[in-house]
Amino acid sequence: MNIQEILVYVALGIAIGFLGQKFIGSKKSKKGCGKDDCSCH
Amino acid sequence: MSIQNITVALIGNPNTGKTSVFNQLTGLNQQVGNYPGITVEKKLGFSKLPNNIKANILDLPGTYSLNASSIDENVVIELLLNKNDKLYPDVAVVVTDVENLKRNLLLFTQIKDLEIPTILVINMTDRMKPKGITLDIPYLEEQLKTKIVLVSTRKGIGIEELKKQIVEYKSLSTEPCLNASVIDVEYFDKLRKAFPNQLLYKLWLVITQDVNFLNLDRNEIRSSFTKSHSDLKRLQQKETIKRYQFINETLKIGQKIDTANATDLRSKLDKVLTHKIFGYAIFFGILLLIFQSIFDWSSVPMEFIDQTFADLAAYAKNQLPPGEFTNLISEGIIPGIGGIVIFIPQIAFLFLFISVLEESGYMSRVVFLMDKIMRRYGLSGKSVVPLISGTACAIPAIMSARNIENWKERLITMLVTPFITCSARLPVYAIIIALIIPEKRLLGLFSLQGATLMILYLLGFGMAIFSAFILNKSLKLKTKSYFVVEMPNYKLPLFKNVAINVIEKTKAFVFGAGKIILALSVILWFLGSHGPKKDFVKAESIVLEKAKIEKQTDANYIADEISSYKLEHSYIGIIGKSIEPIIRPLGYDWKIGIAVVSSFAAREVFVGTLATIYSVGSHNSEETTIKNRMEAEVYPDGKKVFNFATGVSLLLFYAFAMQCISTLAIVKKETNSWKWPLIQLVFMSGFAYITALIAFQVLK
Repeated sequence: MNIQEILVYVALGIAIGFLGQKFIGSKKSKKGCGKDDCSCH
Repeated sequence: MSIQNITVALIGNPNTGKTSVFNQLTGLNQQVGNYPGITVEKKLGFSKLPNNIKANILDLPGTYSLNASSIDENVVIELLLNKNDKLYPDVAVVVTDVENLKRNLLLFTQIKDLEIPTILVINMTDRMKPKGITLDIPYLEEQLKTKIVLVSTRKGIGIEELKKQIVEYKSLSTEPCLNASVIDVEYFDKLRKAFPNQLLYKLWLVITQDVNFLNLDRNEIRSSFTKSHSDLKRLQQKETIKRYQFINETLKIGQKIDTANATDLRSKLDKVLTHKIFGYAIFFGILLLIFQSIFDWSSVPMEFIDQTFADLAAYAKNQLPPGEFTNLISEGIIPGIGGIVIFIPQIAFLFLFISVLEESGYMSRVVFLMDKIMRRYGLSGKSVVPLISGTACAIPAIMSARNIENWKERLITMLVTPFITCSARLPVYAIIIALIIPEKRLLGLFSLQGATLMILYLLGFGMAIFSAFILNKSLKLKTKSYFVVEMPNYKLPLFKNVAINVIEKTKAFVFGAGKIILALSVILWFLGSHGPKKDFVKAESIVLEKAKIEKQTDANYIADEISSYKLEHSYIGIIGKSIEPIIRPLGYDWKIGIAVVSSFAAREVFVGTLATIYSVGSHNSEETTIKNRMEAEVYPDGKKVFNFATGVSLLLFYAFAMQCISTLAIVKKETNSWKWPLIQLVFMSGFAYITALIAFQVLK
């Protein structure tokens, strides 16, 4: 496997990782809600 | 000397020019996000002020008072009551309109009573002379216990003075305008005794609003001090009357309006623009003009971008060392990105027109006109705003439905908004219209392509209204919410505001979808350039063998045959072929099928996907641009892939299908259930499939 092929697989991994995180592994941030439940849900 | 950070909250009624003040204070130093935990858009920017002060400027949603009736209005109250919030302001700047001072001051007096240092900005002061208005500023400052800054964002007047006043915010009086006890002396006495260390007006807001306050338990306050709903409403009305009495007394001396000097073009214009016949005719004419211009003005820059990306891909191929990664860049990434960048001119023109209409005050008249239609079909008047903002993107539009109090009206609005043609559909429409509709002019004036685009927009709107009608019948609405629309003055749009809006929206379009398209381009290129070893690797020998039998010697033909054989036997070819039986009746081949499926990530991915697939499968140097490649696609029998029937079928499919994962996610979040987004997905996509099927079968 030459360097160009390695770069292709790295790019592929990043692309799959990015889409996976975007559409499957979304994170929910609760910071900024203050100490109390801001009852906004 | 170290930099001191302060937080400034811009608060005001809608249409007071609050965002213009924000733009002038911050320039392009802005970021748009969501309020924590909820999904109302917030704008945060910063401004460098004298004395080494850096002000974080927060543009809060427009609100008429602190008696919130919707979730986005709640955002303002939550922030102003919660000192723990990291965005709690050091100083509040209440922006008012000089022509609506009486109504705007209601909110000001409420903010002032929260004992936050408050500056009163009186905006649009360039209108004072034509309207015959004079103000006694020292008197008003004394009565309202604040500093007043006269601003005209149109003329750029007063912003430096405002910055100076913000720097000196510590010298501002925090004395309230109204003694809260006057609302109900006995009741407030009890409150004071129970919570001696708390501000009475804050306690009152906690009781009357659905908000939290510091570490107090709302339920505890409510259980001890709550009154019946009607009593609370009565007291709120009393509070409003007391405040208006105070404002009237203050303005009686502080403001003089000489109506004899006023010239009123506004009411004359309103009569025409909101007329039950001329109003719609003018709106229709404006729409036609917009869509004509989108096609006419964008064609030159679009062709330039398309050619530039084609040249860039060729340059990369020639200059970089040969190999897999070079192929990925020249056949995958560059054409994929080109597929989105090419639409920047059209998107920018669309938002330019929308911004100009909003800035000029005309959009509020459109909302008023549309309200008459909406009500007939069971939507709230307030649904107009989400539906119109849906032309940009369904996600913020669905969020903006939060200001509809009635749940069922809100639900219907959220369910039908994705039918409105969003900016992500524009690239798909534009490329297909360019392929199937000739560049002819109707009556030598109107472009046929522009008219087709307008019909698609109207189709989306019509379908939204029709679906609302059906939902309204099936959900059986019993109550309706009221709708008040502000009619701002007509004004010449401010270039800076329009420019900022166009830049922000275009950036969001390019970068929002751009990252997804880049990632998908890489994956699609890989799947198109690799395949199961058996057929894929032997492609060259199989095609050469076939050429030998057919006595075919044209090198270009053989190279194209090898590319297309490889593509057909690549992973993407195998996936595409497996879905072909489902999409074939709609007139799509497996390549279009792949583009349709990948569009579920974001609709605009369609063009980028086809650009990548055709780039991988082509060796013809003449077909370098996306449009040329799509135009040159033919079936084995020589018939064009993108013919009229397929094109119409695709346009209808994209007009109706629910193809945006992010929209489904936001509907799930807003309804707190998977039921509604699933209904939306099945109904919209099913309807899209059926209409596309009928269209193709009839037209083929």
